[in-house]
Amino acid sequence: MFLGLHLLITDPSTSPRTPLGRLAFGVLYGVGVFVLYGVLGALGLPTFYDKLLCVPLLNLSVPLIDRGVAALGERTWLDRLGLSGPLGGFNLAHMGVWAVLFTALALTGRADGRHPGDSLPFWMRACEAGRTGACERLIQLETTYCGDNSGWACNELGVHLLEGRITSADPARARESFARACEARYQPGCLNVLASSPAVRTDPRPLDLRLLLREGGRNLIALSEPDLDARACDHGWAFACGAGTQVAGR
Amino acid sequence: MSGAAGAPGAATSWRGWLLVLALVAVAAAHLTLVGRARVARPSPDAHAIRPVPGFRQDAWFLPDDPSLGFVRVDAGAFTMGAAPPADPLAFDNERWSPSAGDGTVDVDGFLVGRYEVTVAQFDAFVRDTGYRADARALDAGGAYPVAWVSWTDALAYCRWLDAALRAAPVPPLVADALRDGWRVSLPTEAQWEKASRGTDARRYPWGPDAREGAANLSTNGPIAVGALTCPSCAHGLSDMSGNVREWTSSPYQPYPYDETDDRDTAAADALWVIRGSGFDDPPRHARVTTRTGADPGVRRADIGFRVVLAPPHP
Repeated sequence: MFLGLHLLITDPSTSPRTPLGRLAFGVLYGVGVFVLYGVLGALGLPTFYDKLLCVPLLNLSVPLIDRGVAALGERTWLDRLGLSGPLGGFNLAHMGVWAVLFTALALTGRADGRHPGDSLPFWMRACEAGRTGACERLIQLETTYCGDNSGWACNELGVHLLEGRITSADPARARESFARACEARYQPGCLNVLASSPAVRTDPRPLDLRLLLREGGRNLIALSEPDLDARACDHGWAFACGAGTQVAGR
Repeated sequence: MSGAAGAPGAATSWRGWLLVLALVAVAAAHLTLVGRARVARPSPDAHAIRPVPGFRQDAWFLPDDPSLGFVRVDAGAFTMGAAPPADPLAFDNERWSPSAGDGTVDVDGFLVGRYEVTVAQFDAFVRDTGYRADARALDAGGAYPVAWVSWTDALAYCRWLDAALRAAPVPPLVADALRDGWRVSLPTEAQWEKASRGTDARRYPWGPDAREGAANLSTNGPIAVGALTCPSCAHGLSDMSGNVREWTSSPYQPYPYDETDDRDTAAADALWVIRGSGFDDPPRHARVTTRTGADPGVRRADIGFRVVLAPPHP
């Protein structure tokens, strides 16, 4: 994804002509991704479109950016910084920097689905620690996985909506989430449909883990349970690192 | 010169912007609609509201009798479970324990619906709440038992009816129960069996033996609730065997029955007990002790429910 977007964004035929224009182009892309992420999330739409929707919008902005840079006229400080005039070797240097950065990210495991932010326990801990936006992200992830029919995620979402501690209390939506958990054959969800006080919770089942640990769409249905537990442990699920004990009514 | 060259470029750029924005809007609308379409919500106007003879349109289509169709089952002990040789047709899961074919269970008093919940009653709930039900649940006539409902659908109806009864004038029998903190819910397995079996340990709702024509059995579909009278049935209840099977609020567990551990089943498979027999069952399956576990999300033509008004589940 990262590499594809990099090539897409740096395509010379759809990029500004000057280094300053390209700098503005890159800044606008970065800002646009964050803005779109917020807007899509607020609308309840899949946030992974944040990185793609910017591309056509920015491509259409190229003439505007070029005109804006041209309107600055001759500026000696631009010359000194090498941000005016023809691109020359700038493109090669730019690509080189990104190649080094991307390689470093890949080697440290931060360019694929195994980065900490891909793990629910990471967001659970971040939410508990009061990190900005972490609880919103946790609710968003639980909503997504619930939509994928993870009974565990639906039940957790229901508990959070019922408690109103990390998101706004919404008992009606909580009941819907418990019902969905139950229909996904997650027994704690059924027990919470009957009576939600105290709420019943357990660790994710193997079926849920196969959904929660997909790492960007990998199919884990055929993965053996020991391998699944190992992957879960790697993602920060403490229960999977030991005997896989279940905790009821915690 | 540059101005003349710039104007067409700007116009093209803005047209492109509009095109992309339109595409984004279409994509967003599509994604939103796809999300909503996962569970179809029946149109409120798909079925006209029609009177159902014998039921009160002004009272959520509950039965038109002095207690809105609720019948009292007194507190006390009854015989639960069955096994050969006392009941040669009993299945293994009806046996009380390795050493005893049946057991004695003490049940608090409760009110139970005389009839299975009907299509008109469930439709009233759907119309009032916009609940996303399976459209097939509302296809039959108003007096037919509602089917194609999951366990969670049934409990959602119960919760709604509970609130509705509390918010309106109701007969004294119902009002007293509500005032005592009783709630509308699905019957527990014990409540269901006691209501069907009475206190004389009968094998069938109407007596000790299978009887042709006593219930809607071995047929192709349900019939209107109460269409078959059963004067000899315990508590005068209708369709405790035949017509549709009925959801209960008990998780499927081996006997001996003990509802105090129901909430300890978090690690168990999600299976909930259905009781009674369906229209497609043979008469020998109409026994009051027959029990089955069903996936709580299943919706079938032969599974419906009836309600109780009872003290809260432990």
